[in-house]
Amino acid sequence: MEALLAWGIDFIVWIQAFSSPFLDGVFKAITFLGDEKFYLILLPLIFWCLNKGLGAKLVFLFLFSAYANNSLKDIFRAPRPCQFAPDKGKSHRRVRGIWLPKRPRSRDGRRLGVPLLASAQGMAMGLRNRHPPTRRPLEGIFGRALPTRCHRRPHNSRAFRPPLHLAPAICYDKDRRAIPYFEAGTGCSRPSCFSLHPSDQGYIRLHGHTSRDGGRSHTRGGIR
Amino acid sequence: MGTLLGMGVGLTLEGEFVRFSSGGVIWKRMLRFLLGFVITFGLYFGLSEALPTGLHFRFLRYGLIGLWGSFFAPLVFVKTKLAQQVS
Repeated sequence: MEALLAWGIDFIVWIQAFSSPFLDGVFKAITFLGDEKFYLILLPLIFWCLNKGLGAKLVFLFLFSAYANNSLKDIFRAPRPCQFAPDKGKSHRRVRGIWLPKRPRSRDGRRLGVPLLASAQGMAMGLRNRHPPTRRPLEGIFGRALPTRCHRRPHNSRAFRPPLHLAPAICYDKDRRAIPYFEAGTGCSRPSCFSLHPSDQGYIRLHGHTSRDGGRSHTRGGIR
Repeated sequence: MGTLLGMGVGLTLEGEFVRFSSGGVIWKRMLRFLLGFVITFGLYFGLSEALPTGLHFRFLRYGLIGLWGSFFAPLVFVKTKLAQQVS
């Protein structure tokens, strides 16, 4: 663990050696994508002006993502880079760019664009830090990709899951309606799914179940 | 958790009493967003100044913002005819 933490710090310091006002602006913009105020603008915009149902679902997805992110930080309790290596870190922080594979797919053919983009954004947030750095690049990946793992799950397909995960996700029911839910489990076990979403009647419905077919279906109903 | 509570209560009330439509002509949508945006950030910054620091007040602040966004804002939109009510 110590080696991993040290590697993260060294990597940040190396990245920070690249300097450009343009990249500063780019990374400030990327950082704003993770800011609370950004979501206070984006989510109400969708809810009030574009698509009410989608806006409500995205709010719950965002909240679960934030809770999962904070929960993982509480579980691992890794020190901040500024606590781990207070003497390191520079005022210059840059990165040349982020490479993403073209149309990446998971083992079963599903696109991994959303988690990869989320990882890239999280990682970029980890790379552009103040002096001294407050996040690590790996934290960016695990803090973003897992909580925002979001996949479309057709009714008869097997979902790609990392070996151990705790993640909000979206599936679609038979009527092709998006249902955000919260999934915890392992890649080989039956996942436990919890969803919290506004129902058609305006109620908030919380239900959990353990899928008996490896997560290929998502039943509705449950605790109201 | 405050936001979750505020949103949960707000969405339930909205579905029961308001049932606004997020559609409409573009200028109404823009006005809706501007009005909501100003009040949301007024609450966000105003309550942080007005309320004492502490976890309970933070909970209350986010709860009120969630309630505003999910219930009171749609109610204001419908009352001011910026949004239509769907049956």
